[in-house]
Amino acid sequence: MKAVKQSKIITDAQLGTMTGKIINGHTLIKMQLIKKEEFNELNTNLKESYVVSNLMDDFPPICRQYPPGVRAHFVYEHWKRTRETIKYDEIPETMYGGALPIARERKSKKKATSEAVDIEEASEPKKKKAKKGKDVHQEQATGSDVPSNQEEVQDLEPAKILDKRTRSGKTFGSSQSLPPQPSISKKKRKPSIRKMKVSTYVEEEDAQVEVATDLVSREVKRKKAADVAALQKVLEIAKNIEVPAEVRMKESSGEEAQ
Amino acid sequence: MQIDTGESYQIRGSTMSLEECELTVQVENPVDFKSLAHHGCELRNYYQTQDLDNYFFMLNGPSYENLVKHFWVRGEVFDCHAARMEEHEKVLIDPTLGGKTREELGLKPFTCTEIRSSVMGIPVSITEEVIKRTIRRTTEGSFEEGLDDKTSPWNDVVNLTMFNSTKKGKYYDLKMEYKLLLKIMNENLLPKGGGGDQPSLEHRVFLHFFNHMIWALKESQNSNRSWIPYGRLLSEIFHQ
Repeated sequence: MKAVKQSKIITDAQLGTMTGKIINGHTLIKMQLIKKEEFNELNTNLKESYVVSNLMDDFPPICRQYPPGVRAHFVYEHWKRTRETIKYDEIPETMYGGALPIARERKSKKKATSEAVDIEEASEPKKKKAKKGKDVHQEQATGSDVPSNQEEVQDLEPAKILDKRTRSGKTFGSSQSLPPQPSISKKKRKPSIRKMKVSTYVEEEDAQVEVATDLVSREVKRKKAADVAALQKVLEIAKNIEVPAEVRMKESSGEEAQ
Repeated sequence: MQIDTGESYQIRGSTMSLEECELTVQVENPVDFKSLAHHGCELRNYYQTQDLDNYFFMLNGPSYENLVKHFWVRGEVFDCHAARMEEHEKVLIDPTLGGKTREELGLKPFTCTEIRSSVMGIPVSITEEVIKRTIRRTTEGSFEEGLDDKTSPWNDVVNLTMFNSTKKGKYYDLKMEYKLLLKIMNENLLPKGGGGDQPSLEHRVFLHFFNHMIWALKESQNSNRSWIPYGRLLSEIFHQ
């Protein structure tokens, strides 16, 4: 047992530590030697003792299956308490009984909590969010022109708001006619122009086309300019030519007859 | 991890066909004499006269079930017969050693009967002396084995004391005190195991821890008896 104590890695569970049942007044009742009414619980009653069970002096319940962070925390806490360091070799490979007891607990707890949450959700209907704007309008509809500070505070209390609600979920205020509300225009999204990626050969082609079109447009411009200049010359010449009065009269009479 | 036991490790094999898991450790029950006396059952005097006060005080403590099983499976009774066998084996291996003493054969001198085993590789031997130290009681006393219920002269004495009659009585004829004494006997002093409230004559006459332990171990080895007596006493021996 000394050696086991020195090793400091064996738990009471591994040793199968247990105590015997105490033979006392309770045993007499079980053996039907005295009646229950005759039994008196004494302050001096013997209690089960594990006095000699000090094999694991403050050794924390760790094993190598724990993540390194957790192990380090345990070792640090142990060092803080006892000023004794636990070496890696001293930590047992597995916890007694196979899987980590915490992992088992976690699983069961998770299940329990999820079930509990489900039950809670099923029992309690979902509360609707109170709209601030509606409440303000309700106040206006009930008649108070300018609500006092106290009333405003009351309005903010959810209990007051909930009291006003009927079974059907509608409020008293909502049944009365409300003033026309200013319509809030929804913001329209601006169409964004997306730039497409263009390959290099397409760009080259475009450049060539542009150059070609430039030449054509230049030619057209030149022609246009030449035409304009020719027209002006013709007009100047026509102004200088004197037309006789009779020709003008004939022309005007013919137009009228037509 | 270094364990300094002062003794070399010893790997021992199982000495019985039973597995550890098949065994049942009988842990002694601590007795609250004050509570019993308060309810009209004064028993302390019986055990004080037998100098068993310290023994009952020791009972209220932890028992290491797994260690006891580990010990029991590997246990062997080392008595005169076993000592002789050990000498013969040495001579068989080396015939020139014939006629030499145990010391000359390189064996430890045989002083008394002991139960030899190992716990986690550490050799453990239990003798009367060890039990004496553990229960803080002298080894004085006598033990009568193999009493015959029909012919033994003890019958009249026992029946007169327990049943106030010359004839053998039954359990329900016993007084409250005796019923409880019998329970303590069955639970702590001579753990029977396997049920049955009727005490044997050996139970009624005397007790002897060591002999009962040897008897139980031999029974486990020869008859596959799965009950290990004195779980607490053995645990205390390991502890000390």
